[in-house]
Amino acid sequence: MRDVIVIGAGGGGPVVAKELAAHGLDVLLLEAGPWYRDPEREWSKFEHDANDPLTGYFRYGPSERSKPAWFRETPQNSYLWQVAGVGGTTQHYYGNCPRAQPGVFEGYQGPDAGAFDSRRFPLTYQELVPYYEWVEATLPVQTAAMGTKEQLFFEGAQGIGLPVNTTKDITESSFRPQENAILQPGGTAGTTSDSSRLLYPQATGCTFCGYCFEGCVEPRRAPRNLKAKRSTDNSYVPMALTADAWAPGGRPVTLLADAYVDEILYERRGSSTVARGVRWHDTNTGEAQTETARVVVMAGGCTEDPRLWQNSGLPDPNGWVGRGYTDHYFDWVIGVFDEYTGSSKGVGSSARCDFPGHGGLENVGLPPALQAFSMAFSESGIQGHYDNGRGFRGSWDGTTGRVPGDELKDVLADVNKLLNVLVISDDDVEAQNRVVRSALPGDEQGPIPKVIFKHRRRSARTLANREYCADQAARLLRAAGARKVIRLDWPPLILHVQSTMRMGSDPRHSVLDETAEARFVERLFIASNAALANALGGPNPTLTTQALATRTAERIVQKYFGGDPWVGAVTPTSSIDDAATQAVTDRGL
Amino acid sequence: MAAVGYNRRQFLIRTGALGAAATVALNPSIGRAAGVLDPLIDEIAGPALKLLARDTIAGLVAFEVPGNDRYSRAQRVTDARPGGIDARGDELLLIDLDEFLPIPDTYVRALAAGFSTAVSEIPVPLDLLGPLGGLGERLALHMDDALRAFTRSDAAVPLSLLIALILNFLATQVKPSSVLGAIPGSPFASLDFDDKARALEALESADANLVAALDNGAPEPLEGSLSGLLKFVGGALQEFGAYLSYVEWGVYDPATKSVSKRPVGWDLTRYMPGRTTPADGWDELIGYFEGRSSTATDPAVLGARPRKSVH
Ligand SMILES: Cc1cc2nc3c(=O)[nH]c(=O)nc-3n(C[C@H](O)[C@H](O)[C@H](O)COP(=O)(O)OP(=O)(O)OC[C@H]3O[C@@H](n4cnc5c(N)ncnc54)[C@H](O)[C@@H]3O)c2cc1C
Repeated sequence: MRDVIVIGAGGGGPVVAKELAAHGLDVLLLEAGPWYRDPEREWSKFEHDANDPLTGYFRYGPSERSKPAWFRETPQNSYLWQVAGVGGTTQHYYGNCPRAQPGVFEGYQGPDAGAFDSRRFPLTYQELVPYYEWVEATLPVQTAAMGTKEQLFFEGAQGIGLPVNTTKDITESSFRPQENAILQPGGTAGTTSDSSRLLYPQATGCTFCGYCFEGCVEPRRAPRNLKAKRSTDNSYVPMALTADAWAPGGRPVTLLADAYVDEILYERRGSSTVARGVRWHDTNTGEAQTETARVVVMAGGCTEDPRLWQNSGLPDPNGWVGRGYTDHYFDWVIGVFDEYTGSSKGVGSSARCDFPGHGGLENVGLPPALQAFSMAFSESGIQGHYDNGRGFRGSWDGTTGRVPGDELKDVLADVNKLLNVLVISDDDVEAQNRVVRSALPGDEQGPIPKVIFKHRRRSARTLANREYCADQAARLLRAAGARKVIRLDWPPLILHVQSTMRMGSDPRHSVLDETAEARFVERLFIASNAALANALGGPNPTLTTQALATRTAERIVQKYFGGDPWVGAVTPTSSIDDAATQAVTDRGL
Repeated sequence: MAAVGYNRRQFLIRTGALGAAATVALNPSIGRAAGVLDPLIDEIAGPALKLLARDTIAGLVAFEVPGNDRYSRAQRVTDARPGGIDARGDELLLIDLDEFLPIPDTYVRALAAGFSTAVSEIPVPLDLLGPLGGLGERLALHMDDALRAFTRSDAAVPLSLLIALILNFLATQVKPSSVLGAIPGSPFASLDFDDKARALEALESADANLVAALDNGAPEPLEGSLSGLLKFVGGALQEFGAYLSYVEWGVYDPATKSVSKRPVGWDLTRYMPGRTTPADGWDELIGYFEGRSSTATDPAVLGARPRKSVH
C-alpha cells in the first residue's frame, strides 16, 4: 500500500507529489500520457510536428503517436486544448503566473466586492498569500523581460490611461509585465540568434526563441531543471524525483507514465464512502493493475477529473460534479502594424492588464500556423459574408468574424507586424457549462467526456465583461499604433480551465470542502484546476492551482499522516537549487 | 439489382457521387492510378468516392487560403502567391480526417446511413441534370451500391467522404447548377467564393434539413449530439483548413525532423527569412520595464499597512 497516489502529472499533480515527497511519504504519481525524457531530441519546435491535435507530440493521446488521440465530444463550435504527458498542459503553457483577483475570495471587503462572481473561494486571499509566495519561490516566478511586442503593449496601455502595477497583487485596473515562470535571460540569452552562442552555460534562462507553445528546450545543454520555462516537467517533477537529495528526510516519488487510471476504488465504511486506491492500465500493453493507498489525489484536469469520478460511480448527491466549468470566455483582437512588432519572438506573452471585476488582457505572440488558426476561429461567421446572428461592432474595425481567405493572406503577410491581444473575461460559475458522459462509444478508458458550453447563453455579467475587455483591447492596440484592429469573437477556446469540481463553503454547489477533500468521499482530494472555486477574476489559473495544491498537501499530511504545516515555518527550496540540479544531472533526468 | 429511383439518383448527383463517377469513367487512368482490383466497383466507384472527397476538401482549403491552383480558379478568387493547395493543406486535412480524427466509426457510419437515406428523399427540384441525367443506369447503380456498401458493412466510412457528401449537398442547395460546375467531382468545389461561404453558413448554423437528414440514421442516445457535431465540424473545417495550410507538413521529414525547403506558410508570413530550422533564440531582449526586474507582495493586501506605501 502506498501512502498517496496522485493521478495526473500536469499543472497540479506534481506539486502535491513533490510536497509530500519532501515530507518522506511514499508517493506514486500516475500519468496517462508520454514522459519525454530527452526533449532536445524528441521535440522539433515545428508547428505541425508539435501541435497537431491528432498526431503532434503535444496532444491529448497516448505516447505512441501512430495511435489515435483520445477523442472528446464538444457539441458546439469550440476547441478543447489539453495535453497529456508528464508536465500535462503546462508543456504548452506560457508560464504566466499572476495571483488571483482578491475579490474572488471569502472575506473580501473592497468597495467593488459586488463586481465579482458570488461563488467565492472558501478561504481568504490573505490566507493564500503565503502559499503563493511558496510556489513563487519554488518555480521560481520572476518579472518578465521585455521585447518589442511588450514595449508596444505597454505604450498602448499607457495610452489608454492605465497605471502600472509594481506589486504581485491586483488592487486596481492596471498594466504590468507578467510575473512568469520563465527564468530571466542571462549571459548571451536574448542578445543573439546564433545557436552556437546560445548553449548553456554561456546562455542561461530565456533565449527569446518564441516557442513556448512547442515546448521549452532552451537553453540547449542545460540540465532539465534549468530550462527556461517552468512547466512542471522542468520544475516540480525533477524536484519530486530527487526529493531525497534536497529535502532532509525526503523520499523520491515513483512516477509512471503511459499509466491511465480508469477507476477510483472505494469502499463503504459505516455511512461514509472512503477512497482506497485506483485501477489503471498501461497504454502500451493494455495490462491492468490495481494499487491501494491511504489517500488518493485526483489531478487529471477539469475535463478528466469529472470523467474519472463519473466512470468510477462515485457519489454526486448535489449534482455538481462536472458543473461550473469556467474558461475565461476568451476573445481575440489583432492589431495590424506598419512597424515591426516582434510578434513571433520571445516568451509567448510577457505583458498584461488586469481589470478587477471584469477580467484582463495579455499580449500573445504566435508562429504562422497558430496565427492563421487564431484568425479562422470565430462564432461570428466570415467577415463580409455571414455572421451567425452576431457580427458585433465596436472600437475595432468592421464587424467581428473570421478574416476571409483572400484577406487572411494580406493580414498575415508579415507575422512580425501583428500584435495579438487575448481577451480574458472574468466569467461566472454556471451550472449549465459542464462535463457529462458522452453517449458516443467509449475508448479503452471507458465512456468519454462531453464538454458542454452554452456560450451564447452565458450570464449577463460574463457577456458584459467580455465586451468590456474587448473594447479595452481594441483601444489599447490603437494607442499602440495599430493601423487596423480586428476582433474575432472566438468560440470557447477551452484552455484556461477551471472549477468543474469546485471547492466552496456552500455544500449545495461545491464538490470539495475548504481543504480540497471531496465532500462525499473521504481520503479523496483534488489538486488540478478542477478544484478552483471560480474563474479567479481572470488571472491565468495555474499559479493558484499550485498554491492550493501546496496547501492541500499540507492538509493531507496534517489530517492523515500526523504532521505539521510547513509553509511559513521553513524556507522553500527553489527548483533551480544546486542540490536539485546536481541530482538531476547525476541521475540522468 | 433494382433500378435506381429518381430520388436516389438525385442524391447521387447532389452529393457529387455521380459527377465523380462520370469523371472517373471518362478518365480510366484515375481508376488505374488508385490500384484497383474488383473490376466494377473498384474501377469506378472506389476511385470516384476518393475523388469526390479529395476535390471537395481541396475546394475547402482553397477557400481558406486561396492560391493560383485550379480550385482557387474555380471559386474565382485567386492569389498570385502560393496558397493552401501548394502547401498540401488539402492532403493533410484528408489524412487527419480519415486516419487520425478518432470519431468512432459506428458514429460516422450511422450518420452516413441516415444522411444517404434521407437526402435522397428530400424532394428538391433539380431540373439541371444535363448530361448527368442521361448517364447510364449502370453507373448510377454502381455508385449507389458503393455508398450503401459503406454504410451497411463494417468497413469504416472515411470521415472526409461524409463531410464531402454534406458539403456537396449544401452546395446544391445554394446553387443547384453546381452539379455541373468546373470541378465535376464536387459541386462544393465548383461554387464561387461567395457561394462557398453560403454553404458553410448553412453547415455552421446546423441547417434544419441537414440535421433532420442526419438524425434519421443516428442511434437513439446520439440524436441531440447531431446539431452540436455539425456546429463543431462547421467551425473545425475552417480553422483547420487555414491552420494546416500554414504548417510545415508538406515539406517535413519526420525521420530527420527537418524540412527539405522553406514551408509555404513561412514564406507567406515572412517568418524567419532565410531559415529552414526553428531558431534557438533572438536578439530581441530590450530590458525590464522601468528597469524593474522583481516585485513583491503589496503590503496593503495583507491589511498590515495603508493601501499604497510611499517608497
Ligand atoms: C497554449 C496554452 C497556454 C497556456 N498558458 C498559460 C499560462 O501562461 N499561465 C497559466 O496559468 N496557464 C496557462 N495555460 C493553462 C495551463 O496549462 C493549465 O492551467 C494547467 O496545465 C492545468 O493543470 P491541471 O493539473 O489542471 O491539468 P493538466 O495540466 O491538463 O494536467 C492533467 C494531467 O493529468 C493526466 N491525466 C488526466 N486523466 C488521467 C487519468 N485518468 N489517469 C492518468 N493521468 C491522467 C493528463 O494526461 C495530464 O497530463 C495554458 C494552456 C495552453 C493550452
